[in-house]
Amino acid sequence: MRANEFEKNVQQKMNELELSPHEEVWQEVERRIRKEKKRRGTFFWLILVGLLLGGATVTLFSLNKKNKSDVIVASKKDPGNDRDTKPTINSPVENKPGTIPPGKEITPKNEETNLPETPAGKRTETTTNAKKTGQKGKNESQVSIPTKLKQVKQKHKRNRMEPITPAVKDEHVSIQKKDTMPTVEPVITGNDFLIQNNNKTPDTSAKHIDTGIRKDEKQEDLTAPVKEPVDTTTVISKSNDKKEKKREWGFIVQGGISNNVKGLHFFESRVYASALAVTGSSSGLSSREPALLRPGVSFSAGVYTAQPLSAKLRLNADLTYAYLSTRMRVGSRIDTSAMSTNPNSLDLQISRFYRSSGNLSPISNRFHFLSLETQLSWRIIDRDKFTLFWDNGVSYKWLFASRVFHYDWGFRGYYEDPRLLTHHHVFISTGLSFPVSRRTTIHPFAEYSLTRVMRHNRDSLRTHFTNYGVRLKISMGNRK
Amino acid sequence: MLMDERQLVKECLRGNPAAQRKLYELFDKSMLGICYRYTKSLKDAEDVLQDGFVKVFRNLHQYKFEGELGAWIRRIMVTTSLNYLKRHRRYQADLSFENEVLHPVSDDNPEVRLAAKELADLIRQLPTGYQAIFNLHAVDGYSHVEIGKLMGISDSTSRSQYARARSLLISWIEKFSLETKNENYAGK
Repeated sequence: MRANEFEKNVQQKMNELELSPHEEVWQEVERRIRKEKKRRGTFFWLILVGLLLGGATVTLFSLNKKNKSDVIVASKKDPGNDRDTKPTINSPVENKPGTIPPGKEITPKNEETNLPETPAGKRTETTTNAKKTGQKGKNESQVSIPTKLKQVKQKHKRNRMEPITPAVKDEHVSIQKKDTMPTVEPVITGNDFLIQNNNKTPDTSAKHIDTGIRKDEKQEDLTAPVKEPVDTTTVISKSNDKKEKKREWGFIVQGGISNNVKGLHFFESRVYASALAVTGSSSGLSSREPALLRPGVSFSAGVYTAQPLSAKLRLNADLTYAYLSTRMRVGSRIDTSAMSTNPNSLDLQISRFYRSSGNLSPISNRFHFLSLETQLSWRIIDRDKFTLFWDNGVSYKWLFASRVFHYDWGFRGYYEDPRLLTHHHVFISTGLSFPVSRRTTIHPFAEYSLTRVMRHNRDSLRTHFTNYGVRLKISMGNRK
Repeated sequence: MLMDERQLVKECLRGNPAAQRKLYELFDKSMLGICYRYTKSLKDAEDVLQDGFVKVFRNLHQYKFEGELGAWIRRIMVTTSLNYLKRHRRYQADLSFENEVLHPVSDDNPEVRLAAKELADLIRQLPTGYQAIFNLHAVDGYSHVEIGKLMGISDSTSRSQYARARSLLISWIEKFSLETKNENYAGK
């Protein structure tokens, strides 16, 4: 007995023990819980900013990549039409096309190229490289063409440029028009090496080294107006653009989860069934408070059309029926008339309502919308086997039907009153989309209503819709 | 505004700072008493109280209004105290159970003559392992099986250590009350 008494006495004494903590303890507790709340709030923004930055980075990267490929493509232009690589007559002849004064040279066009003073009767052609390396005036016989060719090829290989073969000024070709056989070999500009003719009969090997344009066109090029280079890839991409600019249409279905949140508190807020009472009180009714709202099912179905705006951008428009819902637990249904008094619909006669206590069972608040959405899709990844779009959109949703329960403090029950709800909504959405087959595209998405669920402006009722899930687009064809 | 516990919890869950403060003020003194029994200093007890209340607010949504809110918070404080003992080095060495000189149990009830604070101070003088087991079993009503699970020991160890702690504490209480009695006589 003594043993039990001892424990009992000690327990009693210890339950009496109360000590006052310092004020700093609460301050620290408060600081820690606020910090945590803030952290949770910023978590969403971090994700959003991360997505935006990620999308922007990928987009910039892909754009940059495209620009680079454009540069490479530009160097693949038809050499015969390329003014930059075309040999031309050195100044001042350059300014007076068609006139080639005696004793002047035809040299590759290059701003940095200056012909050195040469002894009479000698024809020289220098290049910037030659100048730099002190090879000015070096005799053609002193330069091994195959060696130079090799060097130049290596240089261009290093620079990841297109292979270029030497273009040698050939006075017999350009002035005397001896050789009328056109050659289609690529060009090395005057930058690459120097060949001195020295008034000698051209080496037979030099006949195979051409300026890069058709020899019979050389005179024409000097006199004819400059033609715009024809880029074959532009032609191809233009034809592709035409192909892509076909309007697409199809069906869209979506499944997901919807909820009501307070402001932008996506994760931390608890939202309760709306309670708009001018009578009754929230105090002392702990067991009969509005129920907690939980996420519900959402789905939509409709048609869509997509219009490509450019190679990267696409405009989508959807017309859908959308269903959003939230869940809560209510008591048994009472088929008795009652009077609800709320600021929006004074003295509303209710024929039935649900109790707030008793055997609770789940019930859904249902929102039926007609939705018109426009989305701008940005192609952020475009690979052979994988294409990813980043979709951002805005939608107008008209709430044409609903079954939503509001709490009345007066008769302690849930009743319906569609007049308390906002009927015209604006949603913003973001998401990704990627085709999974020729006709099917999958869109994970999230959307948020900028407008409030309830018309009333009470602080506790400033709730907004959230909806996230997956959309499935089934393309039915293209229309020109 | 009068708010009962349920209303208070709901307001706390809504993030109402006034409600949070009120909940804290409702339980801070009694909970500090619990933390005080498990630790060796008031500073440590306040640290445990702080950690415990942060846990309370963080996990308040898990409270299902089954049982008293005070009991739920008390359980959190006890587990926070035990975790604190395990986490801090100065307690770890002392958590081992050593054989102490035991005193016979007297038939008198000297503990009733002690003030709650005096008794708590005596409990706090027990080696940390004994102190924890004594508090868990004698004051907070945990079974030896539960104590074994909480502290990572067998229930028989808990039982035997509790018996030792109890004997030790009784001897100290007797000694303390005797000293107090003598002082009173001397004072007279």
